[in-house]
Amino acid sequence: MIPVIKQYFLNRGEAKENWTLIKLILSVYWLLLIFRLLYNPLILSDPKGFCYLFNCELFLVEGIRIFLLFIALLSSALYVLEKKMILSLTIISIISVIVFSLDASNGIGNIINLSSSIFIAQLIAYIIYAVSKKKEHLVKNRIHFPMQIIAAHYMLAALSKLHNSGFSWFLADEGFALQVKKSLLLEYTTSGDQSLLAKAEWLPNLILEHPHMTHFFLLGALLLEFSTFIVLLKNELKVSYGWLLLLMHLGIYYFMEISYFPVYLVLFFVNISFFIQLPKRLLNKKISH
Amino acid sequence: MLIPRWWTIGSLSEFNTWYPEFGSLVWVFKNLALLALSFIFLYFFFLFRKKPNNAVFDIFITFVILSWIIGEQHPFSRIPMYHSFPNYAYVFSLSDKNDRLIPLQNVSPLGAAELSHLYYTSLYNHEILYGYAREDSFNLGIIGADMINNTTWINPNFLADSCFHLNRQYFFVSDKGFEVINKVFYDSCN
Repeated sequence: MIPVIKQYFLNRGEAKENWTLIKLILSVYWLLLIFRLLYNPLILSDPKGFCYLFNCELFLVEGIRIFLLFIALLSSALYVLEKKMILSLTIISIISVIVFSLDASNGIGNIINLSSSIFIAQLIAYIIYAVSKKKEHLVKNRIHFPMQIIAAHYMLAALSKLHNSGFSWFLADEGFALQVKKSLLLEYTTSGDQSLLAKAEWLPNLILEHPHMTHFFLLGALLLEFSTFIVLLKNELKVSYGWLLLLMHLGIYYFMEISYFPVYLVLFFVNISFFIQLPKRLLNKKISH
Repeated sequence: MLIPRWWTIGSLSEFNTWYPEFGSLVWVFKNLALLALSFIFLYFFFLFRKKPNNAVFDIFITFVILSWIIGEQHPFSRIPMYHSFPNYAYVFSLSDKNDRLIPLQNVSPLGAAELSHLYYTSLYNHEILYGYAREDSFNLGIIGADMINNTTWINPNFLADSCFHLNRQYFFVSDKGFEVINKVFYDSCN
């Protein structure tokens, strides 16, 4: 069992089936997301992205939205089946940019979604393959390019913190406690759940009582975000970093009730196909013993 | 106080705004430091790599640079969430005429976090300075009316028939611990 765990955390023996699994989960997740976004009430009060450059009023027409969904479904099917990849990824990327721009233009604000850039990164990998015809580059790049996008997002998050608060970002325990209180109370005023009101009392006070512990965790999060690019150099660190980042998101969820599930970390860093193959791997070990 | 912004990609004019007396000097120092860091980075970059492969960082670097320049325009972003922890926080809520909480989920598809974004977007659109409860009653009246007029977030029946308050709680930390000041900034009862 221990060699299998070691093999997993050192990211050895990544399965070829991983790519198909990634595409399948990615497509289903993306389709569900754009379906939900297109069927939310859409307002263009603060045009962003694609809607900043072009008039998006057209996409408020229901017929156009149904057409977009139909094309998205068709392109996703081609993408999962590994057919016409440049065409399907181009269409998926364009639809993704349009839909997430529509969502970002509502003036309500949302957690940044990586879908569009992940698909664009894959599209670049396939374009390079079409030019170079080197299959081994494609197999590596279609995973490695989205990993670069994910690492870039964490780097940007770290840079924003350093740019706006300086190196003392992690020392702001009082401000952090306030943000925790705010997040919990916002959830309470949304749901009316009394347990959140109680949590908004004790948890921020606990943070204020233990400033050094708070500094330690905030510094850890900052360093983790800043250093994620290392996985681009050392593939062996990918899984460990993936789990550390997942733990960070879990911590954010516990402290702030921000329910953001980092699907892309699970798909590109954590090597989920390993768990699907785990019984087979363990069985093989036993047989070979 | 010299806030450590010297390593960023800020322009000379930005540096002159940040540090009016010695902006140019800090800008030159920043560029020299960036150059030195680039050399160190490239050194480790080639040290780690067994064979040259130009695609290891291309997308990463391009995306970081473009996002930093373009800002909050999908698919780019500087990921500004919690980039600073100021000593104030606003919590928004709905309450009835007896000041009992009306859970937002009963009357709106939006959560209170999204309601906060509506508040900030409205402030931004009206070019009103905000934070630390510096928004005065007049401006809060404008924002409250603006938010209520954006009826897409609130059940129209509730809006038409109910007597409710739109509240803002201003939290801050003082020597005594957490303190709060409540403000009703839209009152449908009057």
